[in-house]
Amino acid sequence: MTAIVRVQNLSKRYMPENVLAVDDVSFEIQQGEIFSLLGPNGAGKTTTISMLSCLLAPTAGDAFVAGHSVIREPMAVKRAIGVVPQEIALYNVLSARENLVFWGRMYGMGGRELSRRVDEVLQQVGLADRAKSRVGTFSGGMKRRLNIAVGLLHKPQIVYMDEPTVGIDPQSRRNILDMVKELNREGMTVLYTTHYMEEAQELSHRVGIMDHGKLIALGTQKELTRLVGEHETLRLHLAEDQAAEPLAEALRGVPGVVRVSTADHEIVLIVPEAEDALPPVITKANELGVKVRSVDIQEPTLEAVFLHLTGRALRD
Amino acid sequence: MRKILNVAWKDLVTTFRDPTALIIMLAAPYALTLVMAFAFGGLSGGGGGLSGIPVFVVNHDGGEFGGYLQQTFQSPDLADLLDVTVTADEAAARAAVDANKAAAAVVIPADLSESIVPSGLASGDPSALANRPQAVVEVYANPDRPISAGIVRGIVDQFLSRVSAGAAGGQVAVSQLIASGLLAPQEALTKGMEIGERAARQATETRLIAVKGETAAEDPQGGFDWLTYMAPSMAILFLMFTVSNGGKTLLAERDWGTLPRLLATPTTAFQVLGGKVCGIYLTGLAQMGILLVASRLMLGVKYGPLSAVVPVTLALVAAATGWALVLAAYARTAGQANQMGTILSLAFGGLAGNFFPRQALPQWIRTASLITPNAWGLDAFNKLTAGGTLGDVLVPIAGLLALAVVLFIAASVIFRRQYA
Repeated sequence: MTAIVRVQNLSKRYMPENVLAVDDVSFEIQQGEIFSLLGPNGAGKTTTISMLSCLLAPTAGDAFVAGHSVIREPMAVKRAIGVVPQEIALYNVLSARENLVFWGRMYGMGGRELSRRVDEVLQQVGLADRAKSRVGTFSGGMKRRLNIAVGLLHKPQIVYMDEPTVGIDPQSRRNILDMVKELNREGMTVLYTTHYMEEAQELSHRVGIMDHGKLIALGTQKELTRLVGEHETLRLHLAEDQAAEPLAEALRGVPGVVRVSTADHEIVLIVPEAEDALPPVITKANELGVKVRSVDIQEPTLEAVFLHLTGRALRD
Repeated sequence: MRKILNVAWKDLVTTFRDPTALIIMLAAPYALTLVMAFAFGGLSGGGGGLSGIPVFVVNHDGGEFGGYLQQTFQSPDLADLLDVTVTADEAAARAAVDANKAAAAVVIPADLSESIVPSGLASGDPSALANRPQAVVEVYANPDRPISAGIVRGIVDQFLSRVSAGAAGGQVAVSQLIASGLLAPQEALTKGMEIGERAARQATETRLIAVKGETAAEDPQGGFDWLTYMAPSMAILFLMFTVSNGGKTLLAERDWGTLPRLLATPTTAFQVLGGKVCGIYLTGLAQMGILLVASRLMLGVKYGPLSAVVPVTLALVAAATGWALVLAAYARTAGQANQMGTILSLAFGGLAGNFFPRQALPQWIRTASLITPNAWGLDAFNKLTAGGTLGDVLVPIAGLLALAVVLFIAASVIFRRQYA
């Protein structure tokens, strides 16, 4: 496999706020893979994608897309990439077809080739029957699909998808995830950013985990979960009137508990063996008079990895 | 170039599909042209000036005063203003008003002369004055032509007030002459008649309504034509609103997320900006074209030779686009650009005389207004509607082009400072 994207010590500092949004990040994306950047909001994922799209100039480092430097050859990079931005970047008063024709022309396409590709991508995203409808009349999910179609129009070598499922219903989300998998089966390389652990887990061949501008882990899911060891995740759901922090504090002293984090009325524990850890955990809860409504036991996940690496849950 | 035109075409299409934009661009200026021209000048006569107001005069009075009033309406001074039909058939006159064929019918009652100088005075009966009838001259007005009907009513009112004043003066003079023994009571009727007739004759001879006379001194072409003034004036005023809105979309594209997406395509920032500028220009041009053609075809406004109208319009829209760019470069958000655009458009309209003739404005305002495309454009169109040719509008065209160049340079300097 050859690397289609090579990111070398990329940094971005925003001035005058003097905020280091991306801090010395390096990774490669191989041709034909789905590579996800996973991290909470503000981790630096969108800034990284913006630099790889030549929309932001790096403060330090460089990146090469299809062999072209994002600093020295931005036009060649832009021709090689398809961008699906986080926001729905479409014109509401134009129809789906008119939008695609407009964006296709911006990629230098025209004539019969453009017309054929417009038909193809409309078919691909399931909007062929709404081609002549104005985008303003579309549902959020339909707009998201058309937003993706624009990024695919010129048959890019790699498509960047920046949180493409934000703010849509579960069914539309399912459609989009299936679409990404289908695209990849057809040979498309995908750079996918998300803060949903499940999406990264379902789609990605490899995942880069970002936090506070740094790439804190990189590898396949197996490689990443190995970082946590053979540990399992024990999730305690508390009653709504129960505060999580006192029990969490008490559980940090329980033998075998590797990590503890809290979110709302939930306590997440990383433990070597959930079945062994559960009795002393419940006992501690009873001692403190904390009502536990339910308990989930999970195999090692990317969320456990994030928790292991940062001490925080991904949704914090 | 293809990408620039692609962006421009997209902007043109999106603007013309926006119902609110269409109202502001086309419906509002057209409606305001009609309203303002109607309010200030009436719309009769096709070209927009006041002339040929159709009026029926029904004279039932056999005496001299009814005749004088009828002569007033038929006087040469009012020949251009009024189109008078004298008839004895009162019902036909009213029917003509009802059918909107006349602005008003003036019905002179049979006892008009008797009410001014009662015949009883001839037999020396002094009580005749006290017992004289109260005559009523009726103006049967057409509600669809309020301004024209008002003019007819004004003529009648002015005639009657002068005659009444003359009659009252005559009575006082005759009474004093009798009291002082200089006039015999038997001669009172003759003297009174003389004074009354003189007043009525003066009313007939004097120009009662000076509509044309007052504007004739300022405008050698004849009466001031509000419609011809307002049609280009409103088109220019609303052109500024349109281009301001175009400038706003430059910032709005950032909010919509389409600007970063445009810049993520293999397109330079110059091409994107060029496309937006072309879009503003083409939209302004389309708006001016539609408004000028519509006012020519539907309102009969004559703009003069196409060889002059086209360069004036091209230069005008270029200068207006320049202001839109300065606005877009200076504003930080689309909302701010919108507010600034509205204020600028209205201020320019007031400064340049878009709401009333520029000649009425003080000299310093007229000088200050030269920073506006409105003033140069209005000046050019006024010259063209007055029969001017390309040679007569070269100075306004040069002014507009100079303004465009200066504003484009200013906008690029501000853009660089803002986005460098």
